[in-house]
Amino acid sequence: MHEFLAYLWFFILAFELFMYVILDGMDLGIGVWALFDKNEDHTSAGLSIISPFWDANETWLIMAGGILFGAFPAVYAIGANALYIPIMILIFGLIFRAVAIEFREHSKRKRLWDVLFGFGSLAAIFGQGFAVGGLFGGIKIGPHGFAGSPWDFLTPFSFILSFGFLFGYMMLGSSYTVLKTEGEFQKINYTRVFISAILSTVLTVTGLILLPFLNLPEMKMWLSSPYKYLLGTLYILAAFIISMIILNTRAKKHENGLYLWVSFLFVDMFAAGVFEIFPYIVPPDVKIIDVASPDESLIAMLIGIGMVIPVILAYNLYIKRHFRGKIKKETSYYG
Amino acid sequence: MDPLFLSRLQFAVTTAFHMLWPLLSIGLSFMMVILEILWLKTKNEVYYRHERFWSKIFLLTFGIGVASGLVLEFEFGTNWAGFSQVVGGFFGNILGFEGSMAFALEAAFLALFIFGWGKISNRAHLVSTIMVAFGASLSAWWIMDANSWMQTPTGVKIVNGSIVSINYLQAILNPFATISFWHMWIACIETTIFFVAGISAYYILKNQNTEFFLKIFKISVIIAIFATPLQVYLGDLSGKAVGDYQPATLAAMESHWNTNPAGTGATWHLIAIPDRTKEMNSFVINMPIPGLMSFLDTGSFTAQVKGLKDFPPEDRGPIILPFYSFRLMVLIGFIMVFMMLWALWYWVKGYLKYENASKRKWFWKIWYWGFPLGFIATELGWITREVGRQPWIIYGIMRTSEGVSNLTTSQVMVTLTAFIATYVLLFALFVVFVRKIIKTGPDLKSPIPKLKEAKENA
Repeated sequence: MHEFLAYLWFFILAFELFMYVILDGMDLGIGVWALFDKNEDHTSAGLSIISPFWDANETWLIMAGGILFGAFPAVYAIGANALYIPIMILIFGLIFRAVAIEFREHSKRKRLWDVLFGFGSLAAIFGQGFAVGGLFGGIKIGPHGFAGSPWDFLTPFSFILSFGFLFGYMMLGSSYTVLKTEGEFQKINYTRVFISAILSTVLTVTGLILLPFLNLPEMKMWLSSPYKYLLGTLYILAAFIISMIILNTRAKKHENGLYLWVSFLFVDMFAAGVFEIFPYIVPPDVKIIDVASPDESLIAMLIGIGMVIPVILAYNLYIKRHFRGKIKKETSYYG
Repeated sequence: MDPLFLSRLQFAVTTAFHMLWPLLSIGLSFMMVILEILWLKTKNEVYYRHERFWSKIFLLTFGIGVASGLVLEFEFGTNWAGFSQVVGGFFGNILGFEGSMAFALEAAFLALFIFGWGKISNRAHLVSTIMVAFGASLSAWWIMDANSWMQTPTGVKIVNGSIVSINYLQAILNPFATISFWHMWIACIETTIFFVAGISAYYILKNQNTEFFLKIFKISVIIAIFATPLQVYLGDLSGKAVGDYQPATLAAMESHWNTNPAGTGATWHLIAIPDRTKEMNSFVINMPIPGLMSFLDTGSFTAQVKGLKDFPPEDRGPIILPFYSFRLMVLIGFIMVFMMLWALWYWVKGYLKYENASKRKWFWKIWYWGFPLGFIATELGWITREVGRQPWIIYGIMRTSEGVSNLTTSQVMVTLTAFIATYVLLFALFVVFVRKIIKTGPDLKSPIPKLKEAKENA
């Protein structure tokens, strides 16, 4: 029973994080691309896409935080303690992103806020990359909790992973913009998807070449994983999806298809990430089963959170339905 | 300065800053539900115009609230790992409940509330507005519940630093939970109506859109008739609950050293300078009503109130901060009641009519300067509550010093400085942009979304 509940919560947590990555990752990607916009109207268009939803998208991170705190308190506590610096980078990034979106609407000097919007998004992405990189890289635990140094997260692996997050989110953001816009800005975004897909490929190849020199924890986990064949399949699938994405951007058709392929890539890579660490939660030592809360608390969470998740999905779908189709110019904040 | 002190300071700064925004967004969302219902019922466009006007400020508030709230969600882990690891199995659940039951609802329906005007039916829009307000208030319930459990930790059995059993009913309905939630919720309403009325007074003083703003001023006064006396009552109940469950905190709040002998009443100090080493007050000004402290804290003029000396020195928290912030909060609570009565009297006298409104300059000036009262009172109340709980992080179970993370001084120093700098900047920018919204004034011209139901009836 305990094992079942612990694993169930691990996968619910993974689902929440995936929802965050796929939804807010898009917002953050659009934010980074805003730094490259030459035309003010383009940034406004990008913001029109995300402004109704960025708060709701950030909710998934807040829920994931609550679940981690409630179901795996030791991981939440020791993890956040160890990853103090990346989490603070993430937090400050999200603060600046949020206020840039809100204040820009009222300001005449939009460019200033666009820069803040872009750098806030960038910081949030690197915060996430360093945090996940630090977690995968292993955390030193002593008898009184975290026993490492605050800079342990800063490894070549977490750098590579951060850039992976960056290029992935940029791909996600621009492919969604393709779906939501028309004309010149859409064309630009076809190119942006192409660029980010190429950058991701280059990063992966570089990572593979550096592999023997870096002694990457990722590699050790991969080789010792009971799911190594599944993981291998997922990685081969990823390579196939990337080539489909590149082909699609060249064809400049199937605008829905492009976003779907990118989302598929995220599902694939996220699943690979989850199975890479399962049944551990903080590799290489801490197993899910060892750190899960008592059964009664996991059951209470099923009632208070687990059963609510389908409701959340339902009303989010209901709300999204009203925002279908291409964004219109007049869909400004208070229009 | 050690990481413990800096972490406490950082948590205090980030909480005090975060609190400002939900205070206003919970209250404004409630107000917007009222305005929307009034609009749909009376078909009077003034209510619609008001809702749109205040929703601009609401949105700014909400945005900063989300961003600063996320900080707290992670700060329990980053700075209070010792605490989080032990109590996550219960405390973390409650934060998870808040995220999934309340905050997700509020944030999602915000999209329809802001962008849905004219696109969805009026009924669907009203439902969205209600969902935003309901989500916001439910959020306050869970957050206050989690905090109340730290104050009166019932229902959770902790042995050797881990939870062995949880009685959810007892833990969720811990002694402070209900009273603290209502005290805070009414604080949100009270803060908001004084903020709204203050801005309205500003317009009336300037004689801009006077008639338009008299309307919302009167709505605020009507709400104040219920909210201000109710808050005094809830405050009184909260104080008595502190006496019942945290006697050491009450003694500190009253700077009360010696338990009064049975049969005599304890005197209430208006001002006190406590001396910790001599265990007495080196200076006091008392209220000349015998037994007033006993009466205020228990309801009887001769009841015993435990003094600080009854508690070992290591279990006594700071005195000056809770003592004065408590008194100032109470003072502001009463000022708000008197301002409500003043407005009511003027209303009855007919001074609030459009043609008379410009004459009573002092009345409007004082209401204008009353706009931050609720924020200040709530911050003071929060200081009383949190500082009063010290030296405990979980009252009677875990000391604050046991809850802190393993951090270096420079780590916390850097983030604390960054938080202060960022928050000062955000606060200043918020003021700038709200002034801008106020200078621009309400939009009284743009077309109103069609009243679909009204058309069908016609």
